Amino acid sequence: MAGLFTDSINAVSASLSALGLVPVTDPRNARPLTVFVELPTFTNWTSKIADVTITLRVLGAPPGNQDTTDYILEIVDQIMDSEIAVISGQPTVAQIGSAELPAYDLLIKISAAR
Amino acid sequence: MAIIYQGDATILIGASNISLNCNNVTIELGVETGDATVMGDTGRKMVSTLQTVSVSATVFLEYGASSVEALIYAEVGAGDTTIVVTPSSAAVGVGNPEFTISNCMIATYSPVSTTVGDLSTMTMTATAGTWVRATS
Repeated sequence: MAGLFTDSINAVSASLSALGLVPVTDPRNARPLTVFVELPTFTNWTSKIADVTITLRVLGAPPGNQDTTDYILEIVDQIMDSEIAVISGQPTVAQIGSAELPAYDLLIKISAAR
Repeated sequence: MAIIYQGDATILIGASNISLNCNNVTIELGVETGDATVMGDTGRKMVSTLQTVSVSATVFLEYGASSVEALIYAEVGAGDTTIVVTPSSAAVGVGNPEFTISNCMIATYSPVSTTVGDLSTMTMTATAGTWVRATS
């Protein structure tokens, strides 16, 4: 698959992999110690260019003890310190199947042009 | 296809990279023009004369021996400041041209700019000098 948004997600996944992290784009593979790349939202600039926003969900191990919190914050810091343009972040709880995982959502921005 | 992380530009003052203290940089480069119209011409002819430069960056204020505030302070009024700007932090190339501005003037700066509830930032501006665009 190719296209503006697929390429955006692939670029983010590649950047995460370069940091030594495990990006996941299929929710079936979302599990603790991975970073789930959610589907993008965008603002259309022209038919060729999009202002893309993607949520990265850093997933930790339940039930969210101190070691998990430390892990999540370390990963968040690592992503923020990379080339990825993080604009905001907030803690959350991810519902994966019947499990609730401690998580952190990061909003990132990409300019994508075909 | 161009996939670009937004806000990944780099700005160097001299050899010091202040990108991580900036969230905005704008450069405006051009030339002044002179009238070269001569008798017989049916429209005006213009030629370029001197280069023009304008640099603006929003800088997060930090204080200390090697801080960005101290760096800019040392350049205020010098008139020989070199500023290098690239659109992204990737290697310089055709897709990431490097703009080098030499001998520019930082005439003023705001070493204190603080408001309750806001990050302390200032806008640094530089003018004059010459510029070169490089792709390698």
